Amino acid sequence: MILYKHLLSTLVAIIVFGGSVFANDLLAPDSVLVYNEKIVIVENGDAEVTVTVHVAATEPGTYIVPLNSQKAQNVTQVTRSPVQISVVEDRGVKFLGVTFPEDPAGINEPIVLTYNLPGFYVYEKQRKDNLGRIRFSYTFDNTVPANIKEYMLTVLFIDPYNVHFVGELTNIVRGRSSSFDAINVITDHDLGKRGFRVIKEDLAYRKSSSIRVELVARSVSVLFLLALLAFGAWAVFYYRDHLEDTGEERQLVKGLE
Amino acid sequence: MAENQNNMSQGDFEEMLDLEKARLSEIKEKKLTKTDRWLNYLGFPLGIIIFALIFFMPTPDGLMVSGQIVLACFALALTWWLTEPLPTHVTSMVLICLLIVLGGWDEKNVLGVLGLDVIWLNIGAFILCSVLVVSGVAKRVAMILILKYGKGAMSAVFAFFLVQLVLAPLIPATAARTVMTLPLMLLVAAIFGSTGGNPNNFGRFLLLHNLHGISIFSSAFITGSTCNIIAAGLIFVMSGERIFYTDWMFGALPVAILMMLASWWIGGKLIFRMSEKESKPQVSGGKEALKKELDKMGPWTFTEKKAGVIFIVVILLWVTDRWHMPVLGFEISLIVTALIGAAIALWPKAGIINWNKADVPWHLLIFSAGAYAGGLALNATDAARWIVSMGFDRLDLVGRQPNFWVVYTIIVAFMAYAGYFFTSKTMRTLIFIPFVVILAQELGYNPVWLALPGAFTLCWVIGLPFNAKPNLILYATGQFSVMDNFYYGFVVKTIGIILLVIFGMTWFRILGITPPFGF
Repeated sequence: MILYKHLLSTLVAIIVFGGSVFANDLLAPDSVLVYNEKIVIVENGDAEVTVTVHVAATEPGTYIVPLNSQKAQNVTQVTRSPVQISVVEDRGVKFLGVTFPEDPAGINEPIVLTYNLPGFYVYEKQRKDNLGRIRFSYTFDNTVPANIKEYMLTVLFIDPYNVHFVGELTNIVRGRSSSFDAINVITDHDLGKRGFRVIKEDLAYRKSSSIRVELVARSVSVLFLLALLAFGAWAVFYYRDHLEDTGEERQLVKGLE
Repeated sequence: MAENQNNMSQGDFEEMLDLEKARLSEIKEKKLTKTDRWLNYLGFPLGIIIFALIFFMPTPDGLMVSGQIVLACFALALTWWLTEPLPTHVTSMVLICLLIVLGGWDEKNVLGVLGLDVIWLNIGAFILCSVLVVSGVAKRVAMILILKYGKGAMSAVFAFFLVQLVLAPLIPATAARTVMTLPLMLLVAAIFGSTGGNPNNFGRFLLLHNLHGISIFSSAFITGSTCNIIAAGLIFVMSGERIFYTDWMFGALPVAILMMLASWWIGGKLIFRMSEKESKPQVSGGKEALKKELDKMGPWTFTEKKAGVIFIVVILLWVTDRWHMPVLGFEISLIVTALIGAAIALWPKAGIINWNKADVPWHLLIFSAGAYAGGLALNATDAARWIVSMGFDRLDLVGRQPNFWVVYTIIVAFMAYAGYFFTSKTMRTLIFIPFVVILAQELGYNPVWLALPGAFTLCWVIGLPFNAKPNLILYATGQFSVMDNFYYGFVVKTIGIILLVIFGMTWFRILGITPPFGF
């Protein structure tokens, strides 16, 4: 579902900004040096998103960068900087507007902001929708006519969920589908959560980064562990007569007599 | 009198040469040593403990949960395959079940492994092998071989050394070479008193030395295996350095020959030391009796000629695969060629055998399927790549900046020994070569200096029965155990690594494969 929404927003962006001319004196940057999204999903399915964006500018003005979640709430700038960031809207589509002061020379630092996404990912709903499998998909679209030099997405799930599988879940014998980006499974030791990270370089205008993973709740089943150990212990007892010498030796020893 | 006691009677001898009775599809009862019994006994709980440790540990960074599950299942199976508390095919069945039930890999994919090309190749290969046995061609050629070169065990095995060396550049498919020579191996082993039910050291030595020959001689030629071609391609794409046929051959062939000579001497003289009895053909009357037996067979029969023609057609199709498309307008793959040969051999009236005579060891195919499912699942879940990257990270070669020859030795050894944990040379190539090229670039070396000597080890899949197709086919004969395979393979691989280091410091420098003198 989330995938469709993103596809729709991409389509809207392409139709609306086909000519890449923005209203309200909004400017498209030459390039976005860094765009990091860190999505931390909490128990009730809401997400806390931290975005780190680095836009270099030579002229004052408001430069737009993509805001991937149109339902972002409580957008707050975390870093103190002469550069101000806010949500701007152009023809019904929300962007992040990075406003540089009169003289942007010497300002060359990333800006960090946070926002909330209510009801972003509800595990039980996903389980019902996907016939018991918990799948998570996410697509980031570059809707601004500027190259993003490095895009990084970090998603952290609630404990004990972890990435079980990546990408297409069938036909892996012949290789994974190339339409999904490679991910790296990670643990955030500060938050004690598991998740994944995707890094993509040179994400051009109208290009997107897509991932799809299947999740699983990792929990230690004490019963399973005990059953395994009991099985091993049973074998040690049951096959003890296997050690008895039957008088038959293999040629490896016998042949040298 | 003493000779008569040591050697078998003529009746026993004929019985022994009748491979139709010693069918590969029948599992032979093995006689166990005390060590074997302890390994069997402790292997079972040991496998469970290793499984539990990996399965229940917190999922490490970089590894998916499915990868962790597959790793745990594969470690269990590997322990059981090595120590054999259960027959290897039963272990494979357990592995298949665990992969599916615990969610390591999709049921469709796991079960689909039985339909992979490698399984079909094995089926075709075993049918062709049956053709050579039933028609009598194998018996005749084996006796000619023994009469010519069979003064003793060492010379008989050396004859196979030469056969494998000649076949390697002609037939790139290792499975094909195995099928061609397997009936001869079995007959010669039988003449020296080694059968699947009662193997002796000659049988172990002969079969495993051939296995070494099939794999190691493949490493000598760029066309010896698909993985060599892929490795050369990757080196070219990633570094711009083109590897020519002669670059590869001049570098790898001397190493392969010396490695095989070492395998021949160490195998026969140290690892599988043979008693005086085992070193000679065990037939009453010695060579004279063999000659009489050959004379008794008379001239080549019509069935033998027919089998010979089928086999020659199959070999021709294998050897000429690159010209199929321009000449025929379509390509006949290695596997389809084997199946065409099998279909002709099974053809009613015009063929040579019927299905009941085709000796297809299904227990071995189940073993293969389990091993391949485990290997493919390791790859699909990225667990194989994770192990390799973890290994490189732990070594921290970029951070430590050691001497070039330390890096060289580590890379060559790492790539050679990693063969124990893979079921596919191609997968190993695709995982390792990019790592090594990038590492070399980060260290400021020409990528060829590390990647090409490393690539020479890709075909050294001589460690375990599931590491390659020839291993599986030869393991089915019951002439050697998993531990025999492991131990002999380990010793020969280690010698190969030492040779690569010595050559790297000398001959490869002249060829430009490693840094020039004075670097």
